[in-house]
Amino acid sequence: MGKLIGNERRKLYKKVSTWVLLGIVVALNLFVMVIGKIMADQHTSVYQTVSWQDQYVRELRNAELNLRENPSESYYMNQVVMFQYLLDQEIPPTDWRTDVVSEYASLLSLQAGGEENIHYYYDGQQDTSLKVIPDTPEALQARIDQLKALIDGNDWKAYLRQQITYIDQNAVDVAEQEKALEMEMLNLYLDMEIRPVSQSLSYFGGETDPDAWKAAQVSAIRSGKLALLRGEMEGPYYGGDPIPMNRSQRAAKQMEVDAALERLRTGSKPVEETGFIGLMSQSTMGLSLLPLVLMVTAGGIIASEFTSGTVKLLLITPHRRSKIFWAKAAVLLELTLIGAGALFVTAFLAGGILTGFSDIGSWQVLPVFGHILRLPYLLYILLKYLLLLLPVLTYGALALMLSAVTRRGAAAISVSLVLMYGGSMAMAILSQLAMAFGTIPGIKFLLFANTELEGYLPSLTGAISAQTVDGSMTLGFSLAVLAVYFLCFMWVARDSFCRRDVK
Amino acid sequence: MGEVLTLDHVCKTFGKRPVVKDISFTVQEGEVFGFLGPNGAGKTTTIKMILGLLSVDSGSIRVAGHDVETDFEAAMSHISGIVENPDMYPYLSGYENLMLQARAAGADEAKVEEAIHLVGMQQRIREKFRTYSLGMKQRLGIAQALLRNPKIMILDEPTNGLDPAGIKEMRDLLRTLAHERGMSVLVSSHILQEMQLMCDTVGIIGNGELLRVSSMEELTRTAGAGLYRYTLRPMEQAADLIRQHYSDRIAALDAGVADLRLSEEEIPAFNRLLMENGVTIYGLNVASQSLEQSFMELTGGGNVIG
Repeated sequence: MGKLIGNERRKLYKKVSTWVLLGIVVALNLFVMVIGKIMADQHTSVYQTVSWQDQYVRELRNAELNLRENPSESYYMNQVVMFQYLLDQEIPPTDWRTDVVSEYASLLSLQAGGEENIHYYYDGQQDTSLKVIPDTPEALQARIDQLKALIDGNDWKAYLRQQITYIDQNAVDVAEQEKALEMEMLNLYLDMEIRPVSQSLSYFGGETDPDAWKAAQVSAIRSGKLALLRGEMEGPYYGGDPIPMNRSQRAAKQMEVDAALERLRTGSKPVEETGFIGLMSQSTMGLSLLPLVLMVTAGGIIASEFTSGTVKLLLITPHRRSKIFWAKAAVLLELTLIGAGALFVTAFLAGGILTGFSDIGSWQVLPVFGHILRLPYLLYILLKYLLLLLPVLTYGALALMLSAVTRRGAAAISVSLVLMYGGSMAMAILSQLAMAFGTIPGIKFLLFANTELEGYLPSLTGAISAQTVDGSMTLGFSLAVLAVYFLCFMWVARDSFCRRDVK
Repeated sequence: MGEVLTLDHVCKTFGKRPVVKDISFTVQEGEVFGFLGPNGAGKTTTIKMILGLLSVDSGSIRVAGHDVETDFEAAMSHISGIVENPDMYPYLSGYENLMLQARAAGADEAKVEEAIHLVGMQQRIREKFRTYSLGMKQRLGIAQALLRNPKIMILDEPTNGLDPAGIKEMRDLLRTLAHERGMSVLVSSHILQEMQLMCDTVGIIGNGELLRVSSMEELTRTAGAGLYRYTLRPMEQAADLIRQHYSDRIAALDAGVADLRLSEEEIPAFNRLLMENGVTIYGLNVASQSLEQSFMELTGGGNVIG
């Protein structure tokens, strides 16, 4: 058997086309990585060319101009007050006080403009689904004074405690559970010593708190829990009916929340898109190109032997055909691993060169079959490579089967290409239909409904898309379906190779 | 002398068309067996069944006592060969191609060198297979077949693409292998003349049936069955005599030459008759076309090239 595998390796690896194809895939992947890095860098630097102070000044001027034209418009009054205050106190955009100033300014304009301006009221804190609007002039004045004191005091813990008491006493128009959730989240900030971060003006840039990610996690936990509470997907942010969650989305959301809590507990900062880990994570995209290599190779490894006539010499050696088949399959597997290894190593080196291995020591926290795991991010990427290899191997088995059944190199390659890309296109149409009609029975058992395993994994931000054609699908289900297809393809391939006459 | 290859009532049908009909024969140790028949007679199909490339519908094939279907690996370790064309991997060198076969057969590099030497391929063995002429490919094919030290070697039309000198070399090589090393060889061909000098035994196949198996010697003798060409003077007198006494034996009778069908026993009496009547025999030959003709008659014509 070893000698047969050795022979298959020699035949495959001495073919120039094998290496050219692999080279193209690796080069393409590196190209995408470099472009991705350049784009991400540009994206983050675009607002930072103007300092936040200058942006405040510009916003202030605009608001002043608008106010001069529409003196009764309380929104502009609100803006003028807010930016003037932020500038005077030198409060940067991401400082927690920004939100408080915003609320303070809107209450001031409410006070000045009267009841009809109430729809401009902005409570400042995006994280809160509760709008607690003081209903008497006395209460309004009290709240304004309270906020002023909080800003001047610059004590975020005092602010949080104040908020808890305030919501507890004044939020009446809200479901008990949601109110409890808001209180729980405010307590989470306090318990974990997380300084809140203002989101509303964050696009103005400015130096960010190194612990800002923690506040972002709390914010993610809050919106996740709220979504679970309501049974609806977050958003839609711009109107429209809320989208109910299906089973797998619900499970994914729960996982996201649990993972975010674990991140906070263990101090595992999420990675950034532009860092080393971020680039490495993107590089798994190259794996989706590997099936192409496998199709051409699988076509060559069996069908071309028939086309060229060499199969006759191969099969009259004193070895059973099944041994020869498994030797071929083993070499195809080896090539897949070589391809994945080449993608990983080149991505590692290229990412390192582009970023200086900036955040190589990061930790990933992710849910795996209901448990929250924490592991070195680089190890996670390696495991992700292995996981994403499973659909690639299934495609490889498909190609091997077509190769053995058609016994003609060109036919094998073209049929597998058409099947693969036609299959994913058909799947896209089917999943649109499935969305329109709720679901199509049995659709979840199709091969192409189970090949996009990345959807089950958290993205860089920790979000899990769980975009499947059927809400009941899980990672385990997809793996099982892939395994069944893989075994069937291999069985047909082996049977066709071993049993049929060589005419 | 043992039986190296035994075919026992072998049949094969492609779809509804019977291609090989109940073929039985044996090849002895050290024997060069010619498998002779026109194109499409079922030679290659039979060979592919012997080598396990095609399944056998009914009957059995044994190589050195091992059934090809049930004991494939043991059977294949005693047999090797070339089917149709000597196809190898064009992007590998002749040497690399041989090494592939050697590893599969469990032969070492010394064996490869020996085989290369035997077929006289030392000069160009490191060149890519795709650069070889058909004759070189045939020789490399034989080298490949030698690696396994087989008891029997199957060669499907090995002289295809060879020039007369190459054919002679091949013939000498096969005879050496068979008679000095005791290796049996089964050679298929549709060209009778090549077979005549190469083979010890001939099996003639036509339309899927094995028409006749006999030694080459016997075939030459009996297939020519008594067609004799006499050169006689004076011809008129001779013609009269022949018409008078042997009119039913005339194959051809024209100026100076008479082709007659006679049994061996009749020849002395016929010669005496001629001499007693003053006819002189200037020449007596076994008619040279007769073997071809009898082959043609056996196989029902077809694409036989003389």
